[in-house]
Order: sequence, then C-alpha cells, then structure tokens
Amino acid sequence: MFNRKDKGEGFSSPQSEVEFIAETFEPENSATSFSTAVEDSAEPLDVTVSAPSPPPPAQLTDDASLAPIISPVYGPKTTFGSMPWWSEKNWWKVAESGEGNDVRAHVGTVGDLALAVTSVRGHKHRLGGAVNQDSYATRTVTIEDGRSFIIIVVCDGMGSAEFSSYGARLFSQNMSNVLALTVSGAPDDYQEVLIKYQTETLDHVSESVFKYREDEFDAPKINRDQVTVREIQCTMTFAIVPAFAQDASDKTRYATMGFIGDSPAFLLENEEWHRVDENKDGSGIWSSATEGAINSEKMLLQEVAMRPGSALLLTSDGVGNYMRFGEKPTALGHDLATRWAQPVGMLEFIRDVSFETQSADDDRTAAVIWVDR
Amino acid sequence: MQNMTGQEVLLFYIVCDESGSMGPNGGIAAINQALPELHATLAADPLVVDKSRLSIIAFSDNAEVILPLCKVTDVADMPGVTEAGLTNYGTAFALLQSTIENDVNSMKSQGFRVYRPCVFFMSDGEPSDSWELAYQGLTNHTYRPHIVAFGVDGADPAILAKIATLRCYVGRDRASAGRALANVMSSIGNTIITSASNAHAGPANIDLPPVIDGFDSIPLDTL
Repeated sequence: MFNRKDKGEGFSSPQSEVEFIAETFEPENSATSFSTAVEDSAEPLDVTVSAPSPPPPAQLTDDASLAPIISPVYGPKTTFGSMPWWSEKNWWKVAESGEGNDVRAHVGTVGDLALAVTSVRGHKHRLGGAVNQDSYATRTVTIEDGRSFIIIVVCDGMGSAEFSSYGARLFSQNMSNVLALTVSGAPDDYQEVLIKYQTETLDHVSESVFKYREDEFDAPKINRDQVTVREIQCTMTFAIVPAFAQDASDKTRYATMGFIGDSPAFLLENEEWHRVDENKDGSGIWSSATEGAINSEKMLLQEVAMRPGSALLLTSDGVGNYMRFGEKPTALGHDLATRWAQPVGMLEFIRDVSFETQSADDDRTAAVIWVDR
Repeated sequence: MQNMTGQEVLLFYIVCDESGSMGPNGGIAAINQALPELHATLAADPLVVDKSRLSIIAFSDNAEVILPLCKVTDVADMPGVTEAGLTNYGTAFALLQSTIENDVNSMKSQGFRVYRPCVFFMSDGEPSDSWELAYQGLTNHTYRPHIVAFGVDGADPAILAKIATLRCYVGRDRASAGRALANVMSSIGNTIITSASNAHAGPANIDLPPVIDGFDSIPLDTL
C-alpha cells in the first residue's frame, strides 16, 4: 500500500499544446447575493388524460412539490435556464449525431458501498447541437474470498477534439476493464501493480481506443488511420474503492485513485469537501495545461483514506470547478456537502448535477461513492 | 463564503478612436452603425450573455467610458461615438487602466472568477500625445489586459504593433476606413462569441481570427 500523495508520479503529455492566453485572478473578498431557491418550474402533465386532447401548455409555478425535478439555481438565473428547452430560441438542440447523451445515470450498491453517477450534457453543447463529451464507466469486482471492489472511471473529452466524446467513452470503458483485471489478479497488491505498470496500462488502453471499426456504434465516421490523438483526446480520473474496511481499528479503507488531466476529485467528510487531487503547479492560477490520457505514459496515483460516513466524489471540471472558490466552498459546494452526506435517489442526484450557475455551461459528470452506508 | 458561485467572467473593452479624422473617412459612421449590430449579435448568444461583460471607451482629446462594463442584455441602446479633436492614445490608456482596475476589483468582490481582460483598440491615426508612460502603467499593472490593435487609414503599423500584446491588424486600403472598421467590429463579435464559448470551467482562449478581410496581420515586437 503506498502513502497518500507520495508515490504517484507527475507527468506531462505531448498532446496538450493548446496555448491558453487568459487566466483567472485569485479571489479576494467575496460578497454576492445568491439564491439556491428553486425557480421557474413547469406544472406536471396530467397522466390520467384519456381523451386525445393536447396537453395544457407548460406554465411557471411555485409548486414546491416539483422541487426534486427542477434544477437548483446558484446565483443569478442563467440566460440559458431562463426558458424551457423547447422554446423558440432553439438553444437546446438535438445532437446532430443523435447520441447526445443528455443524461446517463447509474446507481447501486456493492457490499457496504453505495454508488451514484451521472453525466449531463452542458449548455454549450446543447446550444451547438453537439454531444456530451464526458463519459464514465463503472463496474464491480468480487474475488473468490467474497471481497468486493467498486471501480469508477470518469473521462472528460477535450473540447477542441472532434471525436473526444468517443475517446472518453472508450477510454473509460477500457480503463475500467483493465483496472478490474488488475484488482482481480492482485487483490492485495493492485496498487503496487498500477505503480509499476502504469505505462504499460496506459499504453494498452490507449491502443484499444484506436481499435474501433468505422461502422461501430458512435465511432468516428472516418478511417481510424486518419484520426489523431489530439482529435480523440480526453482526461481521466479513476477510483478503486474496497467494499470492506481494511483497518479494523477504525474501519478505514483506502481508495486508490489515478489522475490524468484537470478533472477534480473530492473527499466528503463531516459535510466538508477536501480536494484530493493535487494542484498541479501550486501557483493558485488555473493551469493552462490540460493533459490528455491517451498516449500518456504516467498518471498521478494516490491513496485516499475513507472513514465510515465519508464519500468520494469524482467529477469532470463542469462540476468540480464550481465546488470551491479559492479555499472556500461555493454555494453549490456547500449545498452538495449537505445533500450528499448520505446517498440520494437517482433523480435527485441528476437534479443536483443539473444545477444552474451562470457560465457553468460545460458537460457535467459526477460520481459519488459512499462508504459504510 | 458560502454564497459565492465561482462564476467565471470574461471582460471585453472596445476602445474607439473618435478623433476628428474619423468623420471624413467614414470611421465614425461605420462604428455607429456597427455597434448596435454587435450588440444584437452578442445578446443573441446565451453563453456570451452569461459569461462576458462589455465596456466601450471612446477617445480623442479626452477619453470617456461611453458604456460602463455590463452584460450585453442589460443595454437597451448602444451608445455612439462623435468626431472631435486629436488622437490622444495616452488619455485612453490611462482611463483604461483605472477602469479595468475598478471593474476587476468590483467583479472579484462579487465572487466572480475574472479572466484577464481583453481590449480591442482601434485607431485611424498616429498618436497626438506622449502615450508611452500611460501604456506602461496599463501593461505593467497586475490586471494588465490582452490588447488587440486595429489600424485603419493613417494609423502607424509600427506603433500599433508596439501597443498590441496579442495581435495587430492594419487595413490595406487607406481609402476605405469605414468598410474596414465594419469588418473589425464583425471580427470583434466573432472573437467574443468564440472566446466565451471556449472558456468553460478552466483556462480561456482569446480566439482571434487569423485573417480579417482587408487587413494585414502585423508581427508583434519580439524581445
């Protein structure tokens, strides 16, 4: 078992040469009005209607019973969210390819773990009729002695990459398969195996991404020889969480996490978020380098101690970058720290991830693993 | 503080020369026609509306903020420029520095993540004043903006290339300043839309067009 934060290796990726020429300033004081109140909502359709009359037009309502299915608003209402998706503005387009992945979600349990994961297409891609470029894969491993593990991989397709949604989907799926094989083959030593063979692991998964057939579901419509790494690139974050305590004295278990790129991850303890991936350059300025997973040789590996009652959150930056502002939780972060202190229902989880904040227009993916549920 | 949202914002400043020569060459008319069109274009894009703020400064003998920093949808009518006086770059840079400082501090105090501002500077002539000191104050400031310079008519490419920090475009045809400025305003609109669209939850590009119709892209000074 390796020490937290100490044994993972930093890396650089040659695929991330995008020149970023703007950066954020560090936050100073903060005093803004905000609202987490549920705003405009639509009345439910009457499901008992039997006559072929058209349904009543949707109207705005303050019906509190609709709160679970209405996106929460943090700060001023967004322009995008100020009208129904079917409005004449045409700001929410069906993806040209058809597979826009407006929402994917999985929930379930393994041993004493509970998992909720969802990916929601962001406003930017809704506006452009483009697909959700985030993806995730999850699976479980149960070995002969009955010990189980949960594996979750979150990938964020890079915005400038034409086929990054496909890259994110394949990379997450294939990485989860390789991690499952690693855990199955070395249930007590998989961390050491991952450290030692991380280059081979990443090579294998990267190669597998390019083994698609042109007529495969959702694959790029051009010959794979013509697709460059840059066009299919994505970030990657994974977690392997044992469904059992490894330290009998305090019922602690150790999640193994891997990172390539800028997708944030957090540990939730006592209703407070603690970021578990490292600040890459330590400057406090947002890094201009978004590293790509495909063809990377190394990843940042670290171990996270999870005590009973804690939860691990993996996100794409469409969620993670709105959890904290400087050293403080944002309104969203504060709200989710309370709401996700315990497992929540699938629809509630999707609703929470579908939050509205001005400028938060990227695709969102969030995966939470609760321990000792 | 728990009430912050972590909202990102890109700040854009359009700095227009309204000196006396901008009237006869059609520059004033072109800008005044293009500004409402720019407003309509930007206001129709929800990503731009939510993620950017726009301010306009006009300068001649003096400089004036004719549109304080705002969301484009908060503007009912776009202001216009009026030909008057000389081409005092220095007054424009001094006002730009104090305006940016106040705006950024204000946005930060409201809990925004503020990207480095971008200035679109356009002129039709050589500077009438000693502008270098004011320019140094602007570009040495913590909140120094990215500067894109556009020159038409009698603008000096060498001076504009010194002013620009990102890119400098100079019109080829001195006789068509009005048409050239219309192209500039259109390019500014596209740049704002593309930059706002590409800036999501992380670093932002100022996404400039490689080519503007009727303009040469002038290499910037290298140190």
